[in-house]
Amino acid sequence: MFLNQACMRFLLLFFMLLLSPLLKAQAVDGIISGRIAFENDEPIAGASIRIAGSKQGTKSDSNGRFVLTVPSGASYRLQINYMGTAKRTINADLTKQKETTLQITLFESTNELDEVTIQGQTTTQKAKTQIVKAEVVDTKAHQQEASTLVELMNRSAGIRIRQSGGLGSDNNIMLNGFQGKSIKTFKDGVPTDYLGAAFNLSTLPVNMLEHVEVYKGVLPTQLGADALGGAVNLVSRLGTQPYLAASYELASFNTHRATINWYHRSDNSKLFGGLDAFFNYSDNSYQVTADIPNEETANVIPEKVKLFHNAYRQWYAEAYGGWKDVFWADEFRLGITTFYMKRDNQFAALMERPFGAAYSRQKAPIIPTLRYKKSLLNGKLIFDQFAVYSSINNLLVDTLSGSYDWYGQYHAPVDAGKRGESGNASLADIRFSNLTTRTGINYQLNEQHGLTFNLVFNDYNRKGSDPYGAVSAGENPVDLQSLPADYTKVVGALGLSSTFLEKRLQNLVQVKYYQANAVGQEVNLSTGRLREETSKAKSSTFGAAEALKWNINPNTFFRLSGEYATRLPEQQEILGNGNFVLANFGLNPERSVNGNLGFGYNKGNHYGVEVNSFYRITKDMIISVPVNLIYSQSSNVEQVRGIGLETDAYVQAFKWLRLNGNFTYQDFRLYHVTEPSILYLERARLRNVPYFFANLGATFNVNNTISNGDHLQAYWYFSYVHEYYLNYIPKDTEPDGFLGLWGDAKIDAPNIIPGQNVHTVGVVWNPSPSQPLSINLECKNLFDAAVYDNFRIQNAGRSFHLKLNYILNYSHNK
Amino acid sequence: MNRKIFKWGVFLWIGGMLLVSCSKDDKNGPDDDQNQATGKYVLLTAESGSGSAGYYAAYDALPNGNVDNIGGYSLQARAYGGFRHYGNWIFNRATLAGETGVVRYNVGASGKLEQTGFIKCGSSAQNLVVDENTGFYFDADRGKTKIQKFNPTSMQRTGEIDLSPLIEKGNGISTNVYTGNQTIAAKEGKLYVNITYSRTGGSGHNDNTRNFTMAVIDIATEKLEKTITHKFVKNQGHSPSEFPAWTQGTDGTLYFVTTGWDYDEQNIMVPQPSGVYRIKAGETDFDQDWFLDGEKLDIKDGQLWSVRELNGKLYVDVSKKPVELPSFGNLADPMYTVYAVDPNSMAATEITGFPLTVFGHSTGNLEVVDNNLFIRVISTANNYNGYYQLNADGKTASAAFNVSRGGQAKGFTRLTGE
Repeated sequence: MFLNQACMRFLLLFFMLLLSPLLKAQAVDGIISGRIAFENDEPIAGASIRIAGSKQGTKSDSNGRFVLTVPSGASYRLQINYMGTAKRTINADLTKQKETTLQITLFESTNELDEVTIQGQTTTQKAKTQIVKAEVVDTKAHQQEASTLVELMNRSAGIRIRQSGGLGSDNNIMLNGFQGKSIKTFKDGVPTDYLGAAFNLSTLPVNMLEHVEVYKGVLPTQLGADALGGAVNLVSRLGTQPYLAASYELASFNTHRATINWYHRSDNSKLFGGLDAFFNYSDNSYQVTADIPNEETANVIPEKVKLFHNAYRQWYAEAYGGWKDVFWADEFRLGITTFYMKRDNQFAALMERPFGAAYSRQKAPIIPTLRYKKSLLNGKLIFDQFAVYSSINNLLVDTLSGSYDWYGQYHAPVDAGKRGESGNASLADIRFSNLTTRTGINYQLNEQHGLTFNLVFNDYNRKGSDPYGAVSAGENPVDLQSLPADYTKVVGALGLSSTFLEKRLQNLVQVKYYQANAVGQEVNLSTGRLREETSKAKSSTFGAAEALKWNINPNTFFRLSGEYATRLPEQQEILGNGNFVLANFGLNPERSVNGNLGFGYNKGNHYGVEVNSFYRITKDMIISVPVNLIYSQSSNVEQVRGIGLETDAYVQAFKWLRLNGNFTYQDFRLYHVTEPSILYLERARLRNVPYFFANLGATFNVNNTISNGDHLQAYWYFSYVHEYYLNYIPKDTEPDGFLGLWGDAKIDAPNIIPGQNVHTVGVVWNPSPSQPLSINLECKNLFDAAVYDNFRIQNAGRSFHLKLNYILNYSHNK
Repeated sequence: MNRKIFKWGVFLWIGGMLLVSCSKDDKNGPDDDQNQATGKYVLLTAESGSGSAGYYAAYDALPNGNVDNIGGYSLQARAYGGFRHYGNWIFNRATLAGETGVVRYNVGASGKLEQTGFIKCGSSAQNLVVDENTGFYFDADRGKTKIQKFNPTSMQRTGEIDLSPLIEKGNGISTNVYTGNQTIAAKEGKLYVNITYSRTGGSGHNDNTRNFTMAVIDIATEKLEKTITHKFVKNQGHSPSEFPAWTQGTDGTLYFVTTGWDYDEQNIMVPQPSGVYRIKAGETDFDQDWFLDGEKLDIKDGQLWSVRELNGKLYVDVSKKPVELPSFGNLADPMYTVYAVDPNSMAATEITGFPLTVFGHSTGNLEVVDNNLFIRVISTANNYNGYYQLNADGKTASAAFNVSRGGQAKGFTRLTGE
């Protein structure tokens, strides 16, 4: 072997020496230059550019630029390599010209792993390695699959999203034991409140996103929100190189999902424009086991039935355009978003009775957005301004006279005057307006330190009516939905990020300020009538955060962070609803001290493991408490603390097989219980919250299967959620087994959300690397297990999916 | 001292048990006579607040001292305020999971309560068991002017009775009428069902636009006999409550409670007198001259809620201060005491020896178990959450048991064991 190599080298040297006069004689007067970047136009430094069939080559500089001098009058094949991206081969034609400039885009690759390791990071990779702990869900890597965003996120450590039904159903994200209002969602760093339910985790196709950042502790300074337990930042698909991408999915239950992403720019790259749009439709007509009452005896018998009034339809489009890299702006972007969504409501809580006519609809004809970005002082100062105004119409219709049974048959009303399948008729037509601005300023003090300031201002307003809704008491009853409801929130953050020890030690320190102002009307308790004058309430507080990351070597890091986080009370929590929910002006913000400690080690793409632990101590959690026979009121009641551990690992077992897995265990419990009659719930595990869940995955990659040069990826995902209790059970009655995972509780507590074992398998086939088409076949819930995310609400069983994905990068050879 | 009183209490109780009459009368109702009871004692406790749980626990012996209501003898349910009891059965208006209907529980082979029957209803249902084979309940989904029949043994619906012929119609009379949503009672072969002429858009709960009216139906023949109307009372009980706010005396008299919390056409509360009224044994109409209110107990504007009859005496709880209305602001304050009243003379004696307690909500503050009166006492200041027992002197009460785990005491009874 050694002899062969030595012999080859000798022969090569010999021939080169032999040919050198000839080569020298050829005129080296041609120039191939260019710029190499990721899809989002982020320059790639250190990419290898080599002329095929020769040893001549170079590497791109920090701006992604390169220059090669070659003899003109010929055509050259350039091979471009960069770690984590698909290899590219590009023709450079100098037969009729002496110079050519190339714009080369490299795409992330998850299946072609190169033995040559060249350090580099995409935006997604950067997000994974930042100072604060972020779980990065690489949606882009799964765009070819029929996976939903909820499934992708649920396959990540520490995240659990619970859905109450099929496509378009309500969802609730849980991070480190916190859920609901404690978790905030952002789109490209801006709170998604301005988009209503349109940019919803359960409906958003993965093809619309670059990646998802899930922050379970300290939030980056540029994410301004009163997030007590974490945040989810949905990063839109980035495109600065012209491309057109489309996908279409056909699936069980008459499900159709389509996406279009188009980006175009002028030849001089100054003008750009594009469209991001998607369409969702599903009958959601999956089978459930329903308790069907006998007409005569009124006894219930479990029976499998198909859901018949569970359809969901939605379209969403955002068109945008603007200027880039002009003297007055680095980026000036105007956008128009429009959406429509309608959901048939098949059942209420507990799935105990079917609805056949109730539905909800949300729409927004035009939502204008503006973004302006400009760097000054040679890039040391960056100003980033975003503004949006939205007006969203929300309609909830439940006016049926009569009823439906589980077979979808209509029954005439027993009481002609009664309307509404839920028992509370509604024709609530509400308009929510929202003005959001975000101002971001970054100033790089020097090579080591940078200051970031972020200010988010939200102004919410609600107007509406409901002819069937609650009215105030008195001679002139007022529709409570028509009452003024204004809420203004300001969240400011100032962060200092620093690096030490040749960037091996990174630090971020933040201070935050939160303020909320609420205006509304409340009940006068001495008369039972609505107060004539409006009431006002203000809530404000400070917070702080610190995050530290120590990169011991390129493969190993430690991460430590702590935060004093806040969630401000919302408008209705402070002012009540003018009816049976009373005002509480003494309501304090929810406060939480969160700590994270993490360790990560990886050997490139061969294997890696990351362990993260977290500790939280949360005070004054706001819950609705019954005050007496009639009224309830939001109060600071629960205090929670606990720890959690999550571990994520992957291994490239073979070149064709990659395995990954993770598990999360969290132990969050009530503490400092003060209500005398429930002191025994001290240290009781949080109710209705999953506390152990795990995922396993295997991906197989093979080439040349059906046709020469094709690529086939097969995958298997397994998701497990341990059963958990709907109600609190005292600590000493929990199952005895290790971490409470084995054995039975010592009390008869039948209200359990059963465990989940869900298997998903699929294949993605790319006919050829040169063809931008992929075909995916997937089977979700392979063994048709009964799946419950919420008590008594059954999710879909086995389903089959066919997805076509097409990406045309029409400027590759420019 | 307390221990001494307790010992005496136990002694007197045992003595009372030996001397107790073996005769069986025909009375029925939400808390049947328990003289013959040999079954388990059932104690319900419930946590307060949203998402809370309740615990049904079954005990072989009368609980005493500090009681842990969570254990191998308990059944956890989603929190419900109280329950009703007939013979060896417990009835509730929602399943363990929270589905609304008529739900029956028995003690199973494990010695714990088990859900053994469920009749599905559209909403939380008032219900009544008349005997082992006869019961009635309200289900608005089948008609808000009907009453449904069921068999408590098979726990199946068996039919319905349409009360609409008894509903008065005419100018100015509300057409938003509910029957049986608030009161279903029976005595001497007759069924008594409320007819509420609710305000426009009203729920039929404490919003009667006329005086309290009941339909009288012959149970055997299902004949709609007549309607009866009280001369000033507007409502009875609290329709969303498990506690029926009525009881039947040993002589067969029905005693009903009105809170007086009545809302007018504009949904404004216009408080009415709170008190107890009755249909006497042998009668089928209200005793219009008999009304037990706070003033007769020397407590002006006192609010009455719980009522029980034992050995010819009527026991009621009453607030020592007026309830703040319409806010109900002081309902959770310990301000309720208990009186023993002679129903004939209205002579009243305040029971002493226990701390003032809170409003009885869905369970009521009085229970008759083993021919003894038990008073539910919730007093944070005195660190007490449980029951006191009326002493033999009929004037004082002593601590019976205090709940240490499981939430607030929400109901106590003894199954017959038959």
